[in-house]
Amino acid sequence: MNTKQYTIRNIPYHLDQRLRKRARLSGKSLNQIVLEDIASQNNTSLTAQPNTVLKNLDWFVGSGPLEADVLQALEEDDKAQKELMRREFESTI
Amino acid sequence: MSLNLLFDTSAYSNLRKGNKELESLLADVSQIYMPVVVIAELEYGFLNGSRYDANHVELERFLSQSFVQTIAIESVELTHVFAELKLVCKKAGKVLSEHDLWIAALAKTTGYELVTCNQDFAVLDTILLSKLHIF
Repeated sequence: MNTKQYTIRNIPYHLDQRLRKRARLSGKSLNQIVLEDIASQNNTSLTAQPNTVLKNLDWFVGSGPLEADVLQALEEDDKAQKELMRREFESTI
Repeated sequence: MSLNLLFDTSAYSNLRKGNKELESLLADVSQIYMPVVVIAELEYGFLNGSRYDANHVELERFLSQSFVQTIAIESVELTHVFAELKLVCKKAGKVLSEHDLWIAALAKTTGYELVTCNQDFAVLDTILLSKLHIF
């Protein structure tokens, strides 16, 4: 991929801290975070043009629901977690 | 406008199922982020099913796309946001699963737009800094 290099000056301290925090939280480099922001503000992306995402997922999108036993396990897991949370809330009122 | 979307388990499941509204959202997507707790939930579901290998391989293929990234739970700030959101739920008398609270905390700290088919998240709609897509 053909790329260019920019040097950006006068970045305010608070913006620098915000960008670094997002980089840390997302596990990405600071450079990647800034690149993504620039791409987003310019209505484009670094990795794929918007309409290619669906094309690249055509094998997956609409291929059918997960099996009933899988969905049941997911639902039961969700219910169990929520029940634990409900009990915790009730016990600390 | 290119979107950075944060998927929960129901988003993955319903995109596979063929949810048209969810599918249309992908027309503008830049990145899809998959929290590790979502991957864990899916793997647990697959292990309970009869087609583990096929489902696992399919998930691996999904995760290997250049526009899909996993996102971990690994910062102190995230734990603070988790606690904040949990208290919001408690005060509102609403219950979310612990995993869903982590996902919501990720959405708030990163600014990525949460995509879900789980109405439970609606209680946090005004708390999250980014848009919440509930289908």
